[in-house]
Amino acid sequence: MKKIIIALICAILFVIPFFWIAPGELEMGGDSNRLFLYDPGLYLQVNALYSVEPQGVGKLTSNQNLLPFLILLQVLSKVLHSPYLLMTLLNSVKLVGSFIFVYLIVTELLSHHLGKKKEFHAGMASIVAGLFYTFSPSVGENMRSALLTHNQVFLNPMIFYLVLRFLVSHQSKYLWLTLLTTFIFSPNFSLIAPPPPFAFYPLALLFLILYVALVLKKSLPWKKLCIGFIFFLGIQAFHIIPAVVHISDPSSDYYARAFDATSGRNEALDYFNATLSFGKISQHIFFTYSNHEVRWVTIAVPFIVILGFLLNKKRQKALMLIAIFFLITLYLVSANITQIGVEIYRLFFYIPGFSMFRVFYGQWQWVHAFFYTLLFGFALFIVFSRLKRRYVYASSMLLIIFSIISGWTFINGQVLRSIHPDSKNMTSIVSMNPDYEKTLAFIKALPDDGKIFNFPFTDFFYQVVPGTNNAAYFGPSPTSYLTGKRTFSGYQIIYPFPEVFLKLAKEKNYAAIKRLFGILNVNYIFYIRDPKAFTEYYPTWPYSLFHQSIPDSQALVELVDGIRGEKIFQQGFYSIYSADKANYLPHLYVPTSIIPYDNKGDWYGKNVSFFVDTSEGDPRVGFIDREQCEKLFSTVICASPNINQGRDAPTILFKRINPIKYSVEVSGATGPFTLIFSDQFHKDWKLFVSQSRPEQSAVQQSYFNGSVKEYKHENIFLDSRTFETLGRKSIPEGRHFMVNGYANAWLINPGDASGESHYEIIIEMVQQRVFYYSSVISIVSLLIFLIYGIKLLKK
Amino acid sequence: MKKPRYILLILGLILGDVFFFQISSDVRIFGILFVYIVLTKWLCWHSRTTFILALVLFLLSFILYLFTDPARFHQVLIPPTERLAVWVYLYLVIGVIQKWRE
Repeated sequence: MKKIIIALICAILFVIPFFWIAPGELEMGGDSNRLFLYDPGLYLQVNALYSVEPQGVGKLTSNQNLLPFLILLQVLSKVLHSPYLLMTLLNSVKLVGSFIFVYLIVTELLSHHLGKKKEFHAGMASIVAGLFYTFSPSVGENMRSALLTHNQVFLNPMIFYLVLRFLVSHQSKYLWLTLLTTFIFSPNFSLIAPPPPFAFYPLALLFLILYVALVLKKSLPWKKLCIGFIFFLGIQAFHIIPAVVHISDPSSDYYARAFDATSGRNEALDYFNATLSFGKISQHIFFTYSNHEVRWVTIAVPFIVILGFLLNKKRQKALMLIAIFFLITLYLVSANITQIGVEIYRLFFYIPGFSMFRVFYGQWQWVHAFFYTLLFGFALFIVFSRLKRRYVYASSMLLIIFSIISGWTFINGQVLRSIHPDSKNMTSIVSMNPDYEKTLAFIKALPDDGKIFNFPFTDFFYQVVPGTNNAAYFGPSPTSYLTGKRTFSGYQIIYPFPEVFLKLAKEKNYAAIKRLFGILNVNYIFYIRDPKAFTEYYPTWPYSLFHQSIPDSQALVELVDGIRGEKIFQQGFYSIYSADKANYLPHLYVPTSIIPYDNKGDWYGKNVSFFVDTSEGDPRVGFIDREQCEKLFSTVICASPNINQGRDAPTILFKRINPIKYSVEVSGATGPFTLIFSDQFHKDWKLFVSQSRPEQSAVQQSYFNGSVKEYKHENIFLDSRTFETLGRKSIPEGRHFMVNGYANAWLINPGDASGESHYEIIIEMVQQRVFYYSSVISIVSLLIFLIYGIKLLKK
Repeated sequence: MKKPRYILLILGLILGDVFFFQISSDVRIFGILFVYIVLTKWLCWHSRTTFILALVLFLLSFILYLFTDPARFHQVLIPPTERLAVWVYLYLVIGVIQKWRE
């Protein structure tokens, strides 16, 4: 009977997400986006293989943790042939997984403490607890715009259950399954998205160890645990090692968050202080959705928890242990518990790394929901133990109905269909516009390596892409993630120029914007003219900053017309224009002049408006900070307003091998020259002068009377030339410097090529090598791990 | 004084703290808790008493929760339901510690 009930519940939970969105609709927005559901294979190539961001100026990143999960999705995608089915299936797995593993955990915990003839009561308590967790706000409210780590709603209970079974039974198969799960869902165990795993697993593992050692008084399989941990590190090495390298890099955002004592800690503390009022203990005790009409049903769970304490006559160590962890997590998620409690919480932010929990009310909610569920399940069992069977059935039904009423806004899909803030009834569930899909196909086929500037321009790193219905995708630019082309779509993406760009737009200084686009290597302007993408439907958010310069669609049309070149594509509301040809600078170029600039006290404290008033006719300029200039050249040379580099400028032909490697053929190099590469400056971009003769290929673009040419680009992840620069000496770091406020430049002397005038240069992001090395560790570990797994299965 | 009267006294002090003072104070909170802990030691009260008090405070908090405008949770002055919920938390902590020691 119990098995039938559970199977029925699982079947219902599996089906529920199919009613949330209609076939053909998609919900892919949010901070981390779920465009991988649209095209997992392409997303893998664009976002997971390489150490540079696929949008903007190519900031360094480390997203290799996505690989196993994306490969799994790609396989499923080949079978299902439908992003809709893929998305719905993932949501179904979340619901069923959440329920079944919470059910199993509560059953397992109770099995060690129930008396004879109480299995029925334990089973019913476990079912109710499982449904309470599945329909809880922590699972449901985050389903919309779900982050990649949202898989934790079922992974947390799943891993907890497997480890619990392993610790109790000492059977290696549970440990093996745990490790396999962590590998497949490695984004949830990544150091790059740290709050979810760091919020849950340390507390969960501590609980399990205490539970087995103190409550069950069993020995712990330390030896197997250590071997398991080594295997974990081995199979996860492909993303853990690159992430460690990335986080240890002082120029990365993560470094500041984790280690920087002066900014990271204080920023986190400032954020905590500013958002302290969001920590409300009543909301975490009553545990309700933001839909306040059904608040009355929230009495049931906390009432039963306190009743469980009251009715518990014997000292149940397990209940006490769960209660302690519940109270700890309630404090962590609420923070606002007496002034002393708040002061102690503030001290946590002086622990390196704790700054990741500055959004405390969000980051701790899952671990809180988990221990709250365990406590509820245990307390409910104590209450049920005193009731006759028919009353247990009735109470269970009542509690399930309460859970359904409480979570109805989630169960009926309302959470996913909620309106975007400040919009005119725009939701997130999008029917993709076929015109946009055609536009994406056109962009993907663009032959050159130029970047794209998206309009309307948002306040963050988002792009707003309306569907055919009253909805819009809202998240990182699909124009980047679904084409592999770099785009600029929002304020945070065009660092360090956002303020100056908005100022120029307001002043209608189109000539300077054209120069800025040249410096940013923007070759195309993508304008979504759909009224649903801009002020008509989004009067404020997410355009508050842009509105100060461009208040309405009319002003936006005027801006685009003022800076664009010819129209090269039009499909419905979607237009693509070329940027101004006269100012365009290819991804790689040799400047004809270097212009030193001083700090004018710009918004960022760095000079970013150096290009605004320049009267230079030839756009091939490298703007350089005067201090940097004096280090490279001399004070006398840098005193000149314009250092002429045109005499010895060679011809270059370049080719993108992949986003982290470029091949440049240099000819006619008779003297020193500077080579500018318009990706974000980083010390790990290295320039190697190749001994081999450059490979000839078809030229597809030519600029400045043929002095810069683009070969047909490639996208090769691995071939015989992948490791060609290993062991080679790169141009000394002293001649690698920042130009144009963000880009890489190298000063190349004839001696670097042994006096040759025709040679090949390789520009490579060497941080990528860490991924290659660590992948070897992972592959070897995985092979051993799988062979061991087969042996276990045979037993 | 008998046990129920002491409990009523503690309850009165808590409700006084919640309803007569607009701003929460640790001095009052920990003062009341100190009195309560002294009473539990002196009169040998078990965790059951603490959990009963937590239950009463919880029910009061819930009733207020039903009638509190959600917007009030984001105002500077914390609504009484939230302050009562803090008391529930504190009494659960005391109750769990007592139970562990019993």
